[in-house]
This record gives sequence, structure tokens and C-alpha cells, in this order.
Amino acid sequence: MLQTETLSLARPAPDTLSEFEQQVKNYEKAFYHFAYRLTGNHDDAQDLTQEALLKAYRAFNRFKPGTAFDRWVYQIIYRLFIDQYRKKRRRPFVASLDEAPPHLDQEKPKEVPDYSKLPEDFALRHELGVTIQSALLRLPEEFRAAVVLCDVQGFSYEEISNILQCSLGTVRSRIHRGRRQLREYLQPYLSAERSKKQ
Amino acid sequence: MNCHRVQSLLSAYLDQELSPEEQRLIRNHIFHCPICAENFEDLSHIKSYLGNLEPPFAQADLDLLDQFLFDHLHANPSFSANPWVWGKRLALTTACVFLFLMTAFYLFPVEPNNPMLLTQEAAPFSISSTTPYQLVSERKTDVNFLSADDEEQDEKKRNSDYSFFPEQSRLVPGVPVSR
Repeated sequence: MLQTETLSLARPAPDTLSEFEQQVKNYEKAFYHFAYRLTGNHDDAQDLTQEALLKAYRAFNRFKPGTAFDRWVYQIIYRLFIDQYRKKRRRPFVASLDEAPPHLDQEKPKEVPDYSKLPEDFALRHELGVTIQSALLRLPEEFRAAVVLCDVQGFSYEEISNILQCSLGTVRSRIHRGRRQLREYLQPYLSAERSKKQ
Repeated sequence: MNCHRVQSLLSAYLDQELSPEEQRLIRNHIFHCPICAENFEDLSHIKSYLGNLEPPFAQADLDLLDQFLFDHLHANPSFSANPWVWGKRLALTTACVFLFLMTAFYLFPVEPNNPMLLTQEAAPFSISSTTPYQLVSERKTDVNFLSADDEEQDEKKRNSDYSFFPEQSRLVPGVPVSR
């Protein structure tokens, strides 16, 4: 009896991999959405998510079970994104002239979920989505992350300040300034909205 | 509350992150000020746009991501502790230390009959009786001779001598003597 207890104590942590897998399964859509809104395209978002999850897995023993897993991974994604962005800015894009251009017929057609039956409605929403994404990409990175966390992921300011590791005042001003810039970029849609109301 | 102050707080008001008192003040202001009301409406539109954004992927994409990640992890469970990383680091450190030592031995050879050392040693031997070390010994003998019984004075002298010429009874080979 005693021996089995000590044995179970001596055994390393119960299968961390399956636990990690379970956690990721719960949140992966949200992670991917966040990464996509930060980077603006599928490939970068996929790379960013994968890299962040790998990092998270490697450091999973440091994760405190009582705390929120998704906030922790959001923090990793954000830091990775900022790191990559800085690296990219330091080293300008280099394209090889020898390399053959990617073949278009090898690319998979992009599937878009069908949210509405009306084609007109669908087109409008799709267009607005593209416009909003391009407006988001024009924001500075810190503002973009704060706005996305607040409006897309629906976190409170306090949670955002934990994720971005900055003060509440900073979060507030980032969101405010980000939204003000978005308002400028989306002015045509907003005025259309106003005229619709009148 | 003026318009400027209200507009700086509108965003936080929209997210309901203000104190009840501030919320009340802003609600009153928006009710009376059409410009701020329009601003508020724009901001709430933006919030709803962002909130209603469609998730960016098809299910197939996500499965791909899932597949890749867990294939990766399941196939190689010891991913976190890669021994080769430390091996590489160790090898690099050893190489650096080795290079450093080799350079040091090359620049400062230790053989006694090396020409580089001989030229340095030649300096103190070429100096004749005017070296400070000989002066020290001469003065010391003088002092001893003149006031051998006065111990106190003797000690003082010795101390002052010591402060001027620190004791170095033997010439160290290889160390040049300053004149």
C-alpha cells in the first residue's frame, strides 16, 4: 500500500501531452482567429499559431494549472508576433530571382463558410470583412493587438493588460487610439450606415 | 465634462470599463451633444463590425493545422529536451576556449630561451650601479652605521625608506626595472 503510494508520487506528471491536447482543442479556433487578425493572411497566421503552440508545449510544465490557458497562449502569440514583426522590419524582404514562382494550379481553392443564402448579402459581408482586415493591418501592432483582443475576442481591459503585459491605462489608450484610426479608415462605411439610419 | 474629455473616454464607456459616476456623466453628455453622440455611434459600429467578423478559416484548414501539430508532437515526444542542442553548445564552447588558449600560447610563449623573452631580460642586467635597488641597500647600511643604538629612529627611517622604495630583494627575471 505504502509502496504504491510512493511510486505514484515518484512518477512524473500525468500525461501532460493529452492534457495539453485537450486544452488546445478547446481554444485553437480562437488562437487561429487572433493570429489571423494580427498577421492578415492564412499562411502567416498558421505559422504563427503553430510556432506559438510548439512554444507553449515546450513550456507547458511552467504553466500554472489554476490560471487561464488561453490568456497564456495569447501572450505567447502576441510576443512571437511582435518579435517576428521587428525581425522583418530590420531585414527587408528578399526575393530570389532564380526561384520559380509558385504554380497556381497547385494551390488549393480557398473555401469560405456559407453564412448567408443571399449572394448579395454574402458579397457585402465578405467585402466589409476584407476592408476591416486591411484597416486593421494599417494600425500599429500594439493598437491592433489591443483592439482585436477587446473587440474580436471580447476580453476585458484587465485581461488584456495581463496578456499584453502593460498597464490598464496603456490598454485603454491603445484601444481608444486604435478605434479612432479605424474610424478614419472606415469612414465611407460609417457614413453609409448613418445615411441608412436617416 | 467637456467634449474633449468625453471623447477620450468614449471607448472605455463603450466597453463599460468606467466607474458608474463617469458612465452617468458621459451618458448625460451624449444625450445633449450631437457630435459626441455621432462619435459614440461610430465607435459602437466599429465594435460591432469587429465583433461580427467571420472566423477566417474553413474547417479543412484547421484540421490541417491540428494534424500537423499533433503528428509532430506524438511522433517525437522528447521534443522538449533535444540533447543535440546542448551538445552543439558544448562543442562550440570547447572550440572557443581551445582557440583562446592557442592564441595566448602563440602570443606569449613560455620557453625560457625564447628570443622574445631574452630581449626583455637584457634590460635590467645592462644597468650599472645607479639602479634604485642598489641605492636602497647603500642608504640602509649608512643608517645602520650612524645610529645603530637609536631603534626608534631606525624604524622610522626604515618605514620612510619602505614607502619610497618598496622592498624587492631579488630582481624577477622577465620584469623590466623602471628607472
